[in-house]
Amino acid sequence: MHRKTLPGFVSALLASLFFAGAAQAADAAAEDGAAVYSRSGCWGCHAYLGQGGRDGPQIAHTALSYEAFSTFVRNSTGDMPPFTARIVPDADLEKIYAYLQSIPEPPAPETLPLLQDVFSD
Amino acid sequence: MSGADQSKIKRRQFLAGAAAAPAVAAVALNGSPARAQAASVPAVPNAAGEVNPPGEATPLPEGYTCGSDHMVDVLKALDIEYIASNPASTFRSLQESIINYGGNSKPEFLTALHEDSAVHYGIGYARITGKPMAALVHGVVGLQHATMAIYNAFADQTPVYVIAGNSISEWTRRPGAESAHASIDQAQMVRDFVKWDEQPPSLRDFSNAAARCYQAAVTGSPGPTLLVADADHQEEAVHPEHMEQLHVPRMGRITKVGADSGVVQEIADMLCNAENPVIVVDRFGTSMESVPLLVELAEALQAPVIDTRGRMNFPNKHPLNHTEIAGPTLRAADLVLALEARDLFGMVNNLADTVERNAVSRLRPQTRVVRLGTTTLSQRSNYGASQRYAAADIEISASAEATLPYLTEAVKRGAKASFRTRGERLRMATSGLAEATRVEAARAWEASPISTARLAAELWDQIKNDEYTIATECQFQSYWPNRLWTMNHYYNYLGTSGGFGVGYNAPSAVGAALANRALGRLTIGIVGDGDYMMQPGVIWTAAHHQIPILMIIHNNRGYHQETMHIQRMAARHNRGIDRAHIGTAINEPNIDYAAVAKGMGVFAEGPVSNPVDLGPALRRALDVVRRGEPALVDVVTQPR
Repeated sequence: MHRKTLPGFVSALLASLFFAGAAQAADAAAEDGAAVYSRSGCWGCHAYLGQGGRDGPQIAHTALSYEAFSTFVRNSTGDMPPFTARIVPDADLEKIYAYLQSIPEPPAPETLPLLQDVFSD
Repeated sequence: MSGADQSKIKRRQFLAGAAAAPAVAAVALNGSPARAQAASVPAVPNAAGEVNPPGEATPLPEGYTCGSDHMVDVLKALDIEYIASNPASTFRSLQESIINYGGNSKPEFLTALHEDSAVHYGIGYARITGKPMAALVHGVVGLQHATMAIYNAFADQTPVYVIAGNSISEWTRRPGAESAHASIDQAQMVRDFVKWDEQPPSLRDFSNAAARCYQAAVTGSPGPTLLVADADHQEEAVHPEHMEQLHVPRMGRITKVGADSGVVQEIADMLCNAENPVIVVDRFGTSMESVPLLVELAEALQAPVIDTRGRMNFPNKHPLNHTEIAGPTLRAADLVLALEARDLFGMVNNLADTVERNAVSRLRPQTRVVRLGTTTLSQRSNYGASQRYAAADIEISASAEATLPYLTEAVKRGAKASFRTRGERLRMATSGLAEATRVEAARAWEASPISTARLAAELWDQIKNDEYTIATECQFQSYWPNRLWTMNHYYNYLGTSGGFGVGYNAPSAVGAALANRALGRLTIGIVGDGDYMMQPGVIWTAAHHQIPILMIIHNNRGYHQETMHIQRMAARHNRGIDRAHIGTAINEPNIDYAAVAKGMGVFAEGPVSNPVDLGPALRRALDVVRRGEPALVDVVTQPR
């Protein structure tokens, strides 16, 4: 039976992004992390590549250690709700962290002509 | 009047399936002939009125006119340029008068495909022109459809002029639809969120009621008004001798009211004596004058401006624009001047979406607050437009725009040498913003789905030399247009819906494009897919009336806000965060927005999911728009 799920859609999407951009550098944990990141809905606020947006900060290449990252996810008291180990197990959180650290670096802004024009006037 | 004449005006004797009753008609201004004819006996109540054609029309006697012609005279006197509507029986006479007697010009009849759209057109139009256009809605059911748009207009202090048909008299209603769409007090359903409503008891009363509705819409705190036009009054035959009794109102010049000179001086003294005054602004930018007025005040005072983007208030790249660093700027403030701030509490507090709903002030305890604006004038007890009550140290319910010239002059008189030093410090604080914005925008630059920053940058590259309006809310694109584009004029960005009713953006943008058409401005709308599907027919109206607009579907394939809400609740309930898509995703099947638009005769591109393809697709669409037609581009995007 065809199962209609957003995670399926997003998983495929993220997997393709992942393989397109960072296949060589990715390890197994990071690959799994893309799927877990998708399934857990992290993209909702932090976007598909962890770049952030209005609803959540950039988390790709977070400067936090895994321990600090985990502590924040489990105990957040701010805009982000805390996610317990029951709904995001430690093993999944580790994979998410690995995925976020494996996302390819964005291009340098000075190499993007469209971003030079926006402040040229 | 002769008996022959009487027989000719018995319009309601021709009801399908109805037996004619003895006529007792007399043409009179204050008692409609249709009422006087009275005794048409309706057929057995059923749905006949839904499907049966109107009865045979009998021409008016020579020299007579109809009530709806007079109504058109009134609308012309009020300078109503457009009237958007779905055709309906309760205003069939008025519609006929508009297109024939009125020559379909001022007002021009604009064909809508939903009453919600008809009213929303008026919101976008008013944001550009500063004056209302009209929406003409069917009795009861049409007004019910229109209510959310009316609420959006109310919540965002935007003048729209709504006219509803009605068939008040049970003696003259046709069976079926016309009876089901009649109401004794139709305005009751919107009275809590219109500024004024009237149901004139006679044709003679129509003009004054119409003028009062117009006046209420545009004065003080602007907002929507409702005028109920009874079908009997519209279809009433008017004897030539009675024509002169039908007064056509004259509208004088309407001005905004500023604060009195005493309080202006008091505020100026407070601003000049403050160490770190901060200007916070919400719904200020409503005319060509407003933005320069705020620039002049900020520069005279050398004070930072934080723009909540309820309107285009302050040039986005001005060095005193501290919107992107609002947190530290507010924490340093010892005086806040809040201009046209509807939710003062929300402007000076942070409230996380937690169970406890703890609010954290963005201000220091000793910081004083002055609120200047008309927002308090539109408060209603039944609808909450703000969070908690927040007391200002001084509350002035007057137009900020009308007050600013005097306030700025008073500030200039009290200017201190220290202002310059402060200004230099404030400029330093924003000097790194451009580079930080570039770095942020570059993230996910090559991603597919396309990032909202890339979308904004690609679009700006092609419109930067145009006089443009982005007529839709930008928070769903993480405010990238506001951050990357150059916005110096009130018409560059029209702000938010006010009432947060989903379905606002597309029709409101078309209304803005309608107003911009005459001004030669380019209109852009970036509309979320969920928002767009509330009123996808607006693109047909744009095509039908040749309203040029570039409509971009920000297609994240979901009601994304709600996805986050469900995820938050699942996290709180400690279960099932992987099921947040149920009821929130708009996929499987994906909607082909370009195909839908093409089916309505509109040039369309997409779905565009590869960022490399975006620029060319936008270029092709803009070529069409610049020729005077609408175009749509479906862009598959990152969530926000």
